[in-house]
Amino acid sequence: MLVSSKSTAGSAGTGLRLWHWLSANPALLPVALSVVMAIIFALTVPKFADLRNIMNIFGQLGFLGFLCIGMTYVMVAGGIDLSSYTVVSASAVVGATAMVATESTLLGCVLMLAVACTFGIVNGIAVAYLRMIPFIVTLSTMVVAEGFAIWFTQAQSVYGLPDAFIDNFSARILPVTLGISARPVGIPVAGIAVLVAALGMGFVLSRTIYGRRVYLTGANEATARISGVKVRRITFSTYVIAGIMAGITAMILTADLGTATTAMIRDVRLMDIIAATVIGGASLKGGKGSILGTMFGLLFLTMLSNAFNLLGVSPFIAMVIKGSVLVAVIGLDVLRAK
Amino acid sequence: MSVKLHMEGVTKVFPGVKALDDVSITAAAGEVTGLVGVNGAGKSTLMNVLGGIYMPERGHVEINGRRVELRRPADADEAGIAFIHQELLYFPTLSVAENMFISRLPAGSLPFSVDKRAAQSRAQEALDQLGSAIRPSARMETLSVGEKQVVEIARAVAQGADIVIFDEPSSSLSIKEKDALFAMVRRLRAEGKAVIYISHFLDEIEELCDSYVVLRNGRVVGSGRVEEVTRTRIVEMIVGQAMSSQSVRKGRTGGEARLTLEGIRRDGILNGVDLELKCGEVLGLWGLMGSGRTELIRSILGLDPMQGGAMQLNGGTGRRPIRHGELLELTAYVTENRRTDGLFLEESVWKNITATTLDKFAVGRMRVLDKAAEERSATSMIKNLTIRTPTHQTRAANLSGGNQQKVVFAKWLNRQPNILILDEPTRGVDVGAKREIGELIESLADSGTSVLLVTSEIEEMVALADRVAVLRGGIIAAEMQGEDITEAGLMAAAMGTDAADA
Repeated sequence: MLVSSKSTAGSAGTGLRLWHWLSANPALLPVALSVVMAIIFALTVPKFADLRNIMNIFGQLGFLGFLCIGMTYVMVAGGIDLSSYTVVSASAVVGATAMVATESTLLGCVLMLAVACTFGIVNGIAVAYLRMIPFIVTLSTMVVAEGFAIWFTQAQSVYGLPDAFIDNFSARILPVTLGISARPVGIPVAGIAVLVAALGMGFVLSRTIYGRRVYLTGANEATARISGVKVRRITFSTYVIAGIMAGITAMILTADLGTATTAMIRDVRLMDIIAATVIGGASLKGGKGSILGTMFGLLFLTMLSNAFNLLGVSPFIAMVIKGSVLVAVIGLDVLRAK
Repeated sequence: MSVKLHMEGVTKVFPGVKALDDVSITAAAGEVTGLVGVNGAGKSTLMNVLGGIYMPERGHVEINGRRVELRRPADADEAGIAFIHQELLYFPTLSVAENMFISRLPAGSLPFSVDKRAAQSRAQEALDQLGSAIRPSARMETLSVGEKQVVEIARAVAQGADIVIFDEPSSSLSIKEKDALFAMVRRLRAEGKAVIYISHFLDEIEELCDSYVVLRNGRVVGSGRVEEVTRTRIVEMIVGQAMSSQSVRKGRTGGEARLTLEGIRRDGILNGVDLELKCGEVLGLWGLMGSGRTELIRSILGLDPMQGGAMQLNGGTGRRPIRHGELLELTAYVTENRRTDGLFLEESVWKNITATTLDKFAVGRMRVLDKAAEERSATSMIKNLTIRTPTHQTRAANLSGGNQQKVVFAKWLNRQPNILILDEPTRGVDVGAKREIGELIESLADSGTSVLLVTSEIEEMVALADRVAVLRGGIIAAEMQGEDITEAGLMAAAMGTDAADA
């Protein structure tokens, strides 16, 4: 009330206009980051731009991509889901065990989805209907899922999966031989799957009435509720989506590794999921973010790890850089809000 | 009588408003000075000047004849000024003693340690002085509202404050607690402290105060000894006109009933409210702050619980009862505070405007939103309501208060509602926007919309309402219509004073 906010438009210089443009299109930041990184790595890191390596990166997107999509939905609606990465293990071991016992790929996959979905429903009920704090709820389910996986398997990995399952999910299609390369390079199915999912889920979030309601809920829950948005239902649904995404991840990872274990995704990767989503434009306060941005945020982080790996640099340096970028992006978000 | 506190020619200007205009006030030691005025008259600004929160542009404050500079809250502390706020601030899980000395806990023998025993004994002393039986070791959250207030007063006593300012202290107290409060205020007076007592209730001023000061529009419009003035005269000073004042009537009488409320109850706030909202009228809901106006609205809309009562809607299909929560889907509700639950501040203006009517824009089985249609609809609303915004894509946060409020209206009018519920529709908007919003409300009522209006601004109520229901003590205590709606009449009804027989 004391400070009258003045419009900054009009007298804005070029830099300021660029700033406004960036503010209006937060997905541009991760896209630009990824493009710049890709060029730098292509020029400086040997083998980075090889088709084989590019396909590697593409395939790796499939491992965290689905979880990132789920995280984006949850964060846009104003929550956070810390449990998804251990839910992957919990659902993978159940599904894989059933698969080994029955030789039925379908049953295994259905079980993986069902277990992951159950965790999503529990998170959703606790946050949306019991009004519990998302951070604490999902931190708890994260521990529950991890404990469950270890108890269920007695800490043993599940081997002996049907070949059909492994072949279908970890396959590479359209193999092409390039230049003097001895082996053909194919496009990984996991990468294609996440690309399709990102396009579909991106469309739903950015174009449909449901997606808009997710944004409105995250932007201001009280206003959304009074405006007629069923905020509890929306919040609940985002956690279920995150659960389903964890189930799909369980299938892809189990097939890729050829086994289901109690720690399929290391805990440091949780940071990657959150970082990709936040670099992609999501705000911890909700109401912001996009699937497009998140996917480029993930691409950026994946390229970073990949390039450091090729260079033989310690992965811990990559962690230092990722953490720093995340803090910088959050700082930028705070500045942008002013 | 010795002068304790004197404010001389204090002026405080905010952009566009003179909140205090050459205000001079004197509070004597051993006296209770009552401070009255409508909301926005300048009482809070005055408090904030004394509290070291606002620096006045002109004028100064004297204590015991010496000028004091109040630049920070700590300065006010040091000067011996203590506040008993309407909204009590405390740490629920700490003890009474800890709360009383939170900023100055006695140090223990070890570094960073607290001498709890010393704190408790000092707290006990202060509580004894007030004649209170509260234990210093009790956890704050276990106390009643009245007891918490006693702790607040004890804190002032323990600080050695000579000047104690009460800001509408009785509004949330029971009758028994109120008596205890009055006894405490009298005790402070007997000890020679200067007490400033802010209240809306004239009977309290009459009962408790020695002298009074009336503020209106940032100016002192009257002051003197309480025994030499009548309530009627004070009401006149508060509203700024003689009792015979006329109001401008539009002659809308309203059609048949559209919404009927019967015996609406809510614990401790509403004790059975009966109300009928007619077609094509502006029904004002009047009452003091804390009388339950907002609570009534939130309860009938289903946003808050309701312990009893029934609602009926008279639609095209005749009368039918409606369930709790259904009304929200059928009405438009402009909330009291647009920043907390009226707007999506970070979203664009157009997304704000279409938020209540998304279904209209969803196409096909996927329910894809037709953004072009949304933007067209929003743009025409922006034009109709003359919302001044650079573009429809501007963030709502970047608009002025008046234009933000028009965005909230646009959001609801897009729904073409039969019933429009307005809670403080012109709070924090400039004079121009206020007039435009007033005209909008009039034209909606003329076209058959039922408007339920809550406002604390008395001029607005008089200007806009065709009929007024007055909430007091959790029920509709009075109803006024047409010519009878005057500022003086409204004030009298809200404060429970029949102005005519004073």
